[in-house]
Amino acid sequence: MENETAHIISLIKSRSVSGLRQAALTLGPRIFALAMEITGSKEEAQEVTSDVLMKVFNGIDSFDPEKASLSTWVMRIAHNEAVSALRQRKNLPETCEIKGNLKDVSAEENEGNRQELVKEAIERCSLQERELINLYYYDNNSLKEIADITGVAVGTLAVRLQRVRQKIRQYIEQRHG
Amino acid sequence: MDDKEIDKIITAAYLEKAAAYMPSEEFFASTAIRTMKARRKRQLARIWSAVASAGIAATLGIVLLTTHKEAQVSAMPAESFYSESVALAEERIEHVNSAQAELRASFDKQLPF
Repeated sequence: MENETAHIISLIKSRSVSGLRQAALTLGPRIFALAMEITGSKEEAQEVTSDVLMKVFNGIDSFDPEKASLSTWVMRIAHNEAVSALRQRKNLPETCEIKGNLKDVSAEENEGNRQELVKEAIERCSLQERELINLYYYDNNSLKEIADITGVAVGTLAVRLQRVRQKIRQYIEQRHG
Repeated sequence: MDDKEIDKIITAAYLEKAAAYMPSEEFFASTAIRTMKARRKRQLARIWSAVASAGIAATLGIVLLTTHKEAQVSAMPAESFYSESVALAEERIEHVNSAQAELRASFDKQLPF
């Protein structure tokens, strides 16, 4: 992990297109997934991802490994940018575009498919819960790291995670029978 | 379903969900190119700004130097005028003195009383 971090930092500090490209391909999908979860719009998530990558590339010299890991630092920037993009968008509801699409797809496909049911259940979760799912299950952060990224207390996150598990479990059981 | 099992299902479902809307590699790669372009633009702007600042500083320097020299040059005629005037006055006094002496000598010759 430390080697990977050092490698990414050296890629960014190389200031070469190939180095930045590789770093963007490593960090980009994680940033995009979180931004997508928070903003709910692919276009906005792409904008946020670009902005975050630019900030990371340009601000790499200000990154202090003593304060946080590279991953936490990057994802905190992503969280802040995505939340700020969401706040700027005033007239749109909090529900995301992907919600409707996924439901349609899952409805058209197999209703009994457990994976599809989990996706549906995730879409029914609140924004904070979906962000937690993203950071915990997709981005593989510990609750401590998620606390550093989002500014939410570890205890609160633990309770939230338990609630998410319970909600999804119930959803599957209700639908699956 | 225990926590481990539900975690496994959520992870698998989420990975599938994320893969469905993930942009192409090209999108992420293009950010790198945009960053480089923006950086080059910034560097160029910084160089231009430095060149412009140096140019302004040089121009100001030249203007100040020229003004200072002009001030020195314009000070010189006054100085020389003063010294010239003193010399002229001294010359005139000498001239008057010698004319007075000549006149006195001439009086002495013509009127020896």
